[in-house]
Amino acid sequence: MTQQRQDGAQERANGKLLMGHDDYREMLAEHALGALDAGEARALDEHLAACEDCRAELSQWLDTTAALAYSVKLTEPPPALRSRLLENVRARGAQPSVSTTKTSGDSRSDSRSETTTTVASPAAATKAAANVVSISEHKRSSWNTFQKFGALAASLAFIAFLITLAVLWNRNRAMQAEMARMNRDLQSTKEQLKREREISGMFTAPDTRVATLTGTEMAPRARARLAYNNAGSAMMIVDQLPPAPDGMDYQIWFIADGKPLPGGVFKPDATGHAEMRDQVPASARTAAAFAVTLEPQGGTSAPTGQKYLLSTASS
Amino acid sequence: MRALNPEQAPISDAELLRRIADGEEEALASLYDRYKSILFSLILRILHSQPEAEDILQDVFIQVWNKAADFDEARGRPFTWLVTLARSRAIDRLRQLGSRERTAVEASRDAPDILVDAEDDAIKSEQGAAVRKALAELPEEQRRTLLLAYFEGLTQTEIASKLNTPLGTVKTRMRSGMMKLRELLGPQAKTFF
Repeated sequence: MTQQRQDGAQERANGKLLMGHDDYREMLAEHALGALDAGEARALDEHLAACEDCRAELSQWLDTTAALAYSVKLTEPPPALRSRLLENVRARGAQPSVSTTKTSGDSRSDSRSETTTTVASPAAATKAAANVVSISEHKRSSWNTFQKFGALAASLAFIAFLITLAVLWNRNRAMQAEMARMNRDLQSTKEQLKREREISGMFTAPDTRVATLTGTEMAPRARARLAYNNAGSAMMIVDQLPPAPDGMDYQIWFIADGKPLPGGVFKPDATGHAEMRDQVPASARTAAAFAVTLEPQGGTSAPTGQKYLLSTASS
Repeated sequence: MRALNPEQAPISDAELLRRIADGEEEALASLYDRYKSILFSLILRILHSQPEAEDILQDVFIQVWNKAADFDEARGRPFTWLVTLARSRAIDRLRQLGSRERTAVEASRDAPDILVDAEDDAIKSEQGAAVRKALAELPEEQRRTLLLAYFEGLTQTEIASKLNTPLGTVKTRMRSGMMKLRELLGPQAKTFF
């Protein structure tokens, strides 16, 4: 169970699953902690905007995280701060205005913090069966020749029996290993088939639009095709992309009104090929502008690295 | 402008926020007096710098002054809103600080600073005792994951990298820890809010 959850989480992190309500619901506690990566947080925010149940549950998780504040050692702020605050507010009057303290107008680019501040409006261990076989010792008061030969024959027969047993056991083990291998192959083939069906389904559905991304001077041979439908479900197939260095991932960006929205991260295989799934934000579906950059592992909330792929519309 | 009457039953946080939205400075002062210690302590715990914490606390209440009208009681508790705002502002500042300062701050943070001395005079609140007890009941690795996210502002990917642990494991620990925490704190929700 736990392993399944881990696998699920890993796949999700790799952007390999089409996200559903239950997937988003599983992310709420992490979101309340502000621990999701930018692309995940952005996708969850979009779901939250449309899902009241998830908003209500996020609110409960935020209550839990807020209680963590009580775990800190209490320190009083200096009394002068109170009067400074009130003076500051008085100077502004009742008119809501932009904060002028050092943090004013700070880059609220981190989508995690954006979300967490919008609490009120989330637009934002098998017990091994130990078969103990006790072999009792048979004491013999006398041994005659017959008995000795008999014992010897019996011993030889017993040894032969043991050898046979060992051979059979080995053979059985080999067969089990072979079956396991075949099972894995079957599983992998099934997965491959499922993936290919999804790909062909995605690319041939009537409401699917396909964008072509071409490599920049960073990767002139790189190519990608991104298919997405009206619901925003997207699939991208990438080829000829250079390997991502250690500690780095490629990240997709959805450009809406000139602003890049963070998407999922991926690493191409040794041949430069990658397949990933993501959700195109509603605001970026019309513009159909996409980019792929190289970013620190896990992705970022705003692009920092070189562009490797650009959709023809955005280039 | 309505006057705050101390003779009456304590004014709820939500009512204070409504009055702040109406421009009542006294309401802001009352809300500040009510939550200044817990919010300042939280911010100080995140930033480890008194001047920075003072600055952020002031900024939080200016935000409250400006945004009180946006608060919707139906969508969350005032205390949660305040704490979330304060934490978020503090984490933003932490990220603004150069990597040099941040590394220095992180180094000082690796020291266990939680659940160490429940007899400390400063740890006297009932709520503090309850949360500390709940945290103490979590397995160490779950607790550490939660605290790294909450107080250091690290994402799961950053935690996985820092602890050299698979991302899936970090996610599982985080989720299990949160579920256990909610279970432990749940019956005491009234203590907190």
